[in-house]
Amino acid sequence: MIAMAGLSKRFGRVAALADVSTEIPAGGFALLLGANGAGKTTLLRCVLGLHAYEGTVRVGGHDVARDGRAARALVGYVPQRPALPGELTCAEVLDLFARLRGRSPRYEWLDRVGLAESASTPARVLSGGMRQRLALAAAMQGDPPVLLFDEPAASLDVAARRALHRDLAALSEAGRTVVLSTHLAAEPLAAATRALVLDRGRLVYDGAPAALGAAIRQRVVFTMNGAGRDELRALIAGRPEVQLDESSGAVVATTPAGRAFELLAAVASAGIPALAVRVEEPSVDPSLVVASGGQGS
Amino acid sequence: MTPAVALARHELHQAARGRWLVAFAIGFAVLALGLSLVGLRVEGAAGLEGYGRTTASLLNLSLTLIPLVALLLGAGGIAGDRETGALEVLLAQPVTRTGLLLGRFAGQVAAVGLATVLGFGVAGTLIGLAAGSSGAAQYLAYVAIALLLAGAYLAIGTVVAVCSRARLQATAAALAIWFASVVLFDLTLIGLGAAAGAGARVLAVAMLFNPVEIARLLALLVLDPGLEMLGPVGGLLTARLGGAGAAGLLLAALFAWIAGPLALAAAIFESRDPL
Repeated sequence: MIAMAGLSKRFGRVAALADVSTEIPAGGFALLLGANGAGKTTLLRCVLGLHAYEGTVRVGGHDVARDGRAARALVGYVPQRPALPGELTCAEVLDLFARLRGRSPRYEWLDRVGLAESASTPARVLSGGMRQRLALAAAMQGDPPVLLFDEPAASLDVAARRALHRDLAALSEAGRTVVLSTHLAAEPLAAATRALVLDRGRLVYDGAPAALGAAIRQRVVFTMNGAGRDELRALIAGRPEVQLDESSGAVVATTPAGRAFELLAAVASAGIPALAVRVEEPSVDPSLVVASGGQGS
Repeated sequence: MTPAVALARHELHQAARGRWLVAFAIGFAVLALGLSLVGLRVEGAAGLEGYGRTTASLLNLSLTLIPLVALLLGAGGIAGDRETGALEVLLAQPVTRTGLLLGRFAGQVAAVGLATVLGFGVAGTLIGLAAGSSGAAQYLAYVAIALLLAGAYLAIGTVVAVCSRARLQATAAALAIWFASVVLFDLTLIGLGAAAGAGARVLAVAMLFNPVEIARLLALLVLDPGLEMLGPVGGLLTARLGGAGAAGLLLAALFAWIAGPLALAAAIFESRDPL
């Protein structure tokens, strides 16, 4: 459904994408993973024809550079911070986006995203999560077979994020091709059928999500005032799966995804005092992807 | 409904919701009625002055205000959308960049046109009821010229919008263009005439580079084609082309000032990364 060959994009002297080639078949749920600045947004914008690029990109057989309008007719897009016309009500937003696709509005999508009671509410007063759901409803106008989501979970709380990932999995199961760009890897990984990892514009992994497991890491940041620092170092040293980094001044332990709380329990049992502890979201570590063999498919 | 029509409708809708359209219409109605009232007071009478004198009084005011409003509106549109992220969402739809640009332009023309017609329409109706219909055709022609002038400056504003990264930058550029065409241009021509002894032919060619001057001359031709009011440039054009020919040339020039900047804006918008 989406095919890229030799896709490259430069912003001045910076290579945002370098020779990316892949195909995403119809009906798949692909995760586009990578740190901030890895090139995920640029890649999605190239698929939409919003950037000029080198190489070729096709959507449903349409060359995006030559026939972008036909390609975009197949794609619904939800950007990271959807800038929907704030003066319009939710129903009017759907009306506008349906008309832009030459279709009649499908208001039932307000119900499907849980906004039926907000149909007459101006978009500008919606919360971040509600705006994200309205953007999904707007993207579904015209019933596009391909859906692109650019970091849709970034401004959502955990519950809203899980609900969104469930929705995306359901859309994929209903036959749509879903591409989800994210730097938070663990939650949607189970639902995805495909994973693409970008690192500084290069595609370093393209294959089954399950094989990425070892490269998904989670950082635990301990803020210490001196006391207990040596004990914490010793505890981490006794766990070969955990990496230690003190370059920022704090003690940063990087654990395999899902094992952060194991470390926290061990720290608590040992009575090591910390001023503050922050557990970050799991994300993919491109260096581990490359080390484990890169292209996985 | 095509995407461009949907965008035009959306633009008009937003203008109406933003209340500026109503304020603009009321402003023009008040100005037209005010000038009509003041005109008669000056002559020691009460009531409303007829169409002819009111139109003449409105001319300079309109030639100053309409370019300003149209430039700011045209320049703010796409530049503002780029800043808020709305442009990314709109361009992700199955619409071409030129289609988006033309749709928004059409909506802006409709919004300014509606405000102008409403404002001058209300004033015109009251003047007609109070002072009779003499000069009504000239008044209508003047409103049409005002609309064309608005179209030209909306198109110029659109060029500014596609070249600007942010709304503030676009607004600053729009104000600079307005100042250059409404204030500086006249002074430059006067200077050229006085210092370099530029003749009417040079001034006539120079005048075609400024939509304000084209609209002014066209309006004067409609109001009173006497040579005194038209000045040397108008005199030259009417002598060479006749009244109708001169009006035709000026009309064509105004249309060119709409089509040319729009084509330029579309070419720039298509050739650059829009975000």
